[in-house]
Amino acid sequence: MVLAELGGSISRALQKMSNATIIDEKVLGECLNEITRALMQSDVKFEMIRDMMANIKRIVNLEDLAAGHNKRRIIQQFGLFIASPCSTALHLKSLILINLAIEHKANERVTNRIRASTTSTSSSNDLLPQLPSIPYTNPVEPVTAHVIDLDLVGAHRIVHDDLVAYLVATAPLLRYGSVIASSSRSSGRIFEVAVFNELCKMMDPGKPSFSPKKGKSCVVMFVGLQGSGKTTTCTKYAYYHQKKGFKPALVCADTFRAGAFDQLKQNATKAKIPFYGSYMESDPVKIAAEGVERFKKENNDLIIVDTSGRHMQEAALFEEMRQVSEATKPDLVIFVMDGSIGQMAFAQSQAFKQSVPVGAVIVTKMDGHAKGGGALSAVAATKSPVIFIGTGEHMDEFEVFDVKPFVSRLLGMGDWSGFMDK
Amino acid sequence: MFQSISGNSVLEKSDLQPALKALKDRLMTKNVAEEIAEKLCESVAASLEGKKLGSFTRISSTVQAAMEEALLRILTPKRSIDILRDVHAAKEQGKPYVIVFVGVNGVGKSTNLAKVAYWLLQHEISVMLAACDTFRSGAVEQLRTHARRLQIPIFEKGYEKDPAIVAKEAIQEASRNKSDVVLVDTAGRMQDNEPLMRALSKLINLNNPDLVLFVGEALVGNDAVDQLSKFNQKLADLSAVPTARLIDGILLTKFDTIDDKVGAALSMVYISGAPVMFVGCGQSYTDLKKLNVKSIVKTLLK
Ligand SMILES: Nc1nc2c(ncn2[C@@H]2O[C@H](COP(=O)(O)OP(=O)(O)OP(=O)(O)O)[C@@H](O)[C@H]2O)c(=O)[nH]1
Ligand SMILES: Nc1nc2c(ncn2[C@@H]2O[C@H](COP(=O)(O)OP(=O)(O)OP(=O)(O)O)[C@@H](O)[C@H]2O)c(=O)[nH]1
Ligand SMILES: [Mg+2]
Ligand SMILES: [Mg+2]
Repeated sequence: MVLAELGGSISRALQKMSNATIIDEKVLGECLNEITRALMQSDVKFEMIRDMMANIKRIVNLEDLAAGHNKRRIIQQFGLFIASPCSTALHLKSLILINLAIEHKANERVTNRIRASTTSTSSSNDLLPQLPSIPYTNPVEPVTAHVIDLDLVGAHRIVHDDLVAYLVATAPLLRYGSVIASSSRSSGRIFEVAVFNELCKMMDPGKPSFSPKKGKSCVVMFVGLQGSGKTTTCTKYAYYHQKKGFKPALVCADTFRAGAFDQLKQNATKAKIPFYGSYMESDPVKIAAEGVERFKKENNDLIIVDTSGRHMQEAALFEEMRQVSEATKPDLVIFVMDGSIGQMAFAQSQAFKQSVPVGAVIVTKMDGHAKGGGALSAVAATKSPVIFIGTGEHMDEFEVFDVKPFVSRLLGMGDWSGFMDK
Repeated sequence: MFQSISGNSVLEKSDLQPALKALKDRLMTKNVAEEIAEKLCESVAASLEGKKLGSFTRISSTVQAAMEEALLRILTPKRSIDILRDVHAAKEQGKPYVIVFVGVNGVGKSTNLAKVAYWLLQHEISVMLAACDTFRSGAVEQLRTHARRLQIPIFEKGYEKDPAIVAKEAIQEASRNKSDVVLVDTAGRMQDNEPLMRALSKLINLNNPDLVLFVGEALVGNDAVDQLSKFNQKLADLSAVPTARLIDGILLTKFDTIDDKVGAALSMVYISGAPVMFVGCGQSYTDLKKLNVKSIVKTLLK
């Protein structure tokens, strides 16, 4: 599995931390070191790891925050709430109220009042007129993660980010009826969620990529470093869509690499996909334009343009790529990246993004041993999501990639894709 | 950056830690694999612990000097292989000198094989290519194109043939037509793909080449360690003969794409003990160089 080893190391580190009887600076520090090491071994860019660690520390180290004192107390109160014997739904409401209070910079007096009324077992519904009611059948039955459904977060935007993290973290505890006994415990959970969020942030650029529509002509251009797997992946991408009912076509705009046209031709023939290219013409811009025009006429709805490998140190090669892009006006530019790439991943992918409008990333050769952390750099540098991964040399060794369920699985947190949607 | 300790204090591990941590981080930003950076720092620590620090010497510069020494030692080849000399020796025995290019997918085996052919031609050595990547689409045509451009013979049997047999026939053909060198192209393969590694082991066992050249790209990160150790390990484990042939040398490609992140060179040499025999630094025939150890060390520590 992609990045699975990284996931394993991170969740082991987190597990070790949460098993500790007292979670103090030292325990958190050790955990961070282990996570840093796991990320380093997966080829995540050094500077990104450093920033990620700083962010996590910032979130966990409550005292450093401007609203520090208040928040710290509130977090401790959370502990109290959860431990107190009232219904789970009530906890939630009170949590949300406290968040409201924070949002509105309510003073401590208000927060205390809210606390006073919500901790009592009497109904506090009058305090919650503006909140949607939380569906629960039996007030003492633990609220499941799905009931919390961050609806409240997404739709009403009333919960402070860090506290959303806290809510999500405590959801499984609520579900299993556990309690949080001390504020030290909760800082452990916050920490865990901070890690989760930082990973999501790294992997998820926050916007989906263009996806082709059947029957509506579109052009997809593949770019990337030499030997990253563009030509192979072009065919895989075409074949994948062909099986879904698209009418793909392949254009070979690589006039440089020896045997490039033969490679594409043989792949396309195997997959029974029409192709265009030339042994004589040496101008990739011309071929690309001709190919696209031809397949538009033939009503192919997915026209895929393969280009030569290139790298940022050769300005002329980037200029050529820019021209191919200009001539073909692609709806989507896909950056293809080798999963074993190291610390150059960020600079190279950023350079591609600066020349052509990269909109998606495909990571190849994930059938090997590489942990694929370079993908994180590519996502950050291109602000584009990973949409597929290549898992072998054969046409069908190709998997759709979706980041959020992936990151949560990675951390052994179950599939929480619904929750993390903003 | 770090506090200087004056006087003749004895270095303890804890004194060294901050400087070593900074050095490890620097190596990793230069794309040295984490495991290798860690090991290097440990050995530098071991070499310095208990030593006396000269007056007014900074710990950081002491650590840096020890690291520089270690890097030079690691990167300077222990066994020297002189291909040109060995080619002439083989020629005198009436045998072609055989080089097999191996490595994972897309690193530049075929392209750099063609560059080595060009380099040999410059030294008035006759070369024949053997198209033993019988798997990847276009691989045979790719090699044919190079053979045509370089005007040298190529031995090919199309696709889906057993590459070990194609290589054997190619070498026989080279003996007949008196080629000095046979350059054997092989398909890219992932280091833990057992069937493909077995096929490679068969090719090497059957043909006992003069040189097994591992082609690795300078872009690779932590996987460099795994690639080299597994290629060696599989070649040893899967060999049918008692004395298995392992990697003799390294051809480091795409050196033009990495700026100052030269760490893969160190990871590869450290883990395999094999020397970097060539460095590929571009896509044309003349883009083949020798490794400059001093400049690598300097870049790594900068
Ligand atoms: N194992 C494995 N090999 C792959 C994968 N994707 C591509 N490859 C192999 O990687 C090598 C390079 O792939 P190409 O498609 O030729 O790469 P490219 O980016 O088009 O190369 P240039 O056009 O020369 O820049 C070939 O041997 C492919 O078979 C993958 O997901 N897994
Ligand atoms: N920039 C740069 N590109 C290189 C270098 N060496 C090879 N390439 C490019 O890398 C790509 C892959 O090269 P190939 O020689 O086909 O790689 P391979 O290892 O034979 O690939 P497979 O046989 O598919 O595993 C091509 O586009 C080459 O032009 C180099 O030193 N620098
Ligand atoms: Mg290609
Ligand atoms: Mg090849």
